Amino acid sequence: MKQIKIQPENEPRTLLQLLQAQGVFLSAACGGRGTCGKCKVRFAEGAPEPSGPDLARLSADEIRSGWRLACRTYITKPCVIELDPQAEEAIAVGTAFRKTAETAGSGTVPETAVPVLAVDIGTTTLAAALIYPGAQPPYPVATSVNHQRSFGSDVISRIDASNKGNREALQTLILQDLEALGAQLGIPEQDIFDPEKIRLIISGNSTMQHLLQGLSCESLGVAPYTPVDISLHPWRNMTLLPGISTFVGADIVSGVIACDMDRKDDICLLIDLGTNGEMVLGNRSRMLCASTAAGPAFEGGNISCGTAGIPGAICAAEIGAADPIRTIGDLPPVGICGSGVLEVTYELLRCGLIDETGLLDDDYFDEGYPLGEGLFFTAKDVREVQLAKSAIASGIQVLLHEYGIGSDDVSRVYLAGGFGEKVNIRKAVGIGLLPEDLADRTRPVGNSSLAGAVLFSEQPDLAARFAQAASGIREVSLTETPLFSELYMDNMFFPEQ
Amino acid sequence: MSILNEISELLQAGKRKQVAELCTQAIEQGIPAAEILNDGLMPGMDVIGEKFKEGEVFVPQVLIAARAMKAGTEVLKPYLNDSESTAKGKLCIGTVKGDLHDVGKNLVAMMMEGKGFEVIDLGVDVPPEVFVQTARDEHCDIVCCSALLTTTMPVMADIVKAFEEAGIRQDVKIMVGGAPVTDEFAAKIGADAYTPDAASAADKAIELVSEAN
Repeated sequence: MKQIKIQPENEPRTLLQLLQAQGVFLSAACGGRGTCGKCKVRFAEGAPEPSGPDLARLSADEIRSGWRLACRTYITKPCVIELDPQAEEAIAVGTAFRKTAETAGSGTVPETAVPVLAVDIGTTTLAAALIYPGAQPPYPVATSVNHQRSFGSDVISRIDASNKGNREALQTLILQDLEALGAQLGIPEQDIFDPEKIRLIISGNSTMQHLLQGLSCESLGVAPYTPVDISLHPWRNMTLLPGISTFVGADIVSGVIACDMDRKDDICLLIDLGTNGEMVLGNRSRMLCASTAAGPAFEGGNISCGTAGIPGAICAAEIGAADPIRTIGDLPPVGICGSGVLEVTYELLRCGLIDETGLLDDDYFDEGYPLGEGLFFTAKDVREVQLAKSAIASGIQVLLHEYGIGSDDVSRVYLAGGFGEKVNIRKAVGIGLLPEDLADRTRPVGNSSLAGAVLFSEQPDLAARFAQAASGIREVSLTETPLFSELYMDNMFFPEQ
Repeated sequence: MSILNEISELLQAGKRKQVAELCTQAIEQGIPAAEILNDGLMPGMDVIGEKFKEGEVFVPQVLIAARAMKAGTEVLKPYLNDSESTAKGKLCIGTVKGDLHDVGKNLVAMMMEGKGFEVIDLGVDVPPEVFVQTARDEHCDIVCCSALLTTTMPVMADIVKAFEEAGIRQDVKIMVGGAPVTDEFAAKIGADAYTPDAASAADKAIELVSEAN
């Protein structure tokens, strides 16, 4: 437990803003609106009067012992706060990636070049691989939390924070994170941004790339959601990989290349399950993509006992088994992460405790289904899952429709990202997240965003392929597709078990 | 079960065809159209609204119930004379400029119709001046603004301002909603009401128009 003394300031700022300014990391999933309760801190001395959101989010006991929401607390007198060592520092990050047969073994790096750090900047986490000239895979890897999380967990809250005068603060945070990643891999701090010493290849979503370069995010957050620059281009000692649009970024283009979708005749589907579910469908001659606002349920967000993939997070479940839940690191359960959310939903459905409309059984309706000490899966949580899984399922169906094919015509489904790695495909099909007839053609590909950046590092002549994929993939706007709205309603129901 | 109760039950189950059939039968039995509306269709929609608020039913069930309600009111329309069909009030609703999300907005519109409001749906990406002009031209009692994105939420403040500048702020009640919106935000921008869900929005709207009268 770390104690920090806080002095009041002249300008009125919340404790969260004050800590952000001092570079103290505090998770604030909702971006400081007082609705998620994740930024609570304990006042050891000088606790201010509780605010309305404090009373709504915290228990009477917590209030009495000095807990307050940092985002709703204004400091008017000197005080001392206590911070938990941040559990989020240990969010599990996937660095593993599977290359397809065609690209595997091509890991020959030009001998003359400086070392390259291939980086995937995710909204939640960062992953990097260090590639020395002439080296062969596997390369050393490092991971970290994206410390911009103290400005909100999703891209929209980061865009909002940037627009509200935190553009530099956000840029500084991500540059520090890159420095720290480099340090983990033995790169001295003063070298990481020195073009003589190292080159960085940056994959990631369009918002993360904007924040890194300090570009304005004004146009990203409002329709028609126009990006400033998502082309393949150099910046400082970095190369930024190209994206398709504001919501389908370089991380997805990297995935397309890593899965070799742009060279295959067979039609493949790439799905990245996050707060924005992105998907690409097609083959070498034609590809379509879409992004869908799935919400953060499969990242443990908006779930009453939800959490990121930290040690102790429930990640798997089987009702009736000797061990009905499994946690990351086999620790006592502290919350439920994305894959756990999916599994618990499936299990409740399988056991008839949720019906196909999503109604939770009477016995558990008020309190929720118990998962462990003080941990429940509530009726409202089921509703969040319904929204999320319907957005993904409907997005897939619209893409198939626009492409003019049925699911039979899809030869492979690649699940990208950390969630895709951990997800139980049978259970994902069981709740209607993924199409049933594609189950045996679906496989996780790990961190394909990092994989793309690594491939680019190994083979700089891939630039043309990256650029072509970024400009050639047509985006289908789901919100403007009437079929999507129709399917979105239908798919909120669960399949019959 | 009386035929009106039956209509209510079938509406709750989302049986569009049967609701329309029973409405026709009820008319043939000589039941006044206004009574079928007020004691059959609307109570059914009220039950769905309540259940939605409690989490017992979800978005798609509200949608199919609303479709059934619509099928019923289509049957009744020719039989409702002007004074009887006078709505509870008139409102316009839209997702604010810069935002294309319409699920929540549509849900609110359905609930409002279920409560007997005449609803003008302005769609998505609606600029403040369109809210103002519609409210003025159509004599709306209430203006409902929806936003899903933190980045588009500030437009709601512009809407309140636009009504002030047009000099008709006191003629309308402004309601705001959407995932990132809070009570605190609504108060800050000077909106009249925020509700966390569509069913509460419809209840609140009834409250607002009865206060005004």
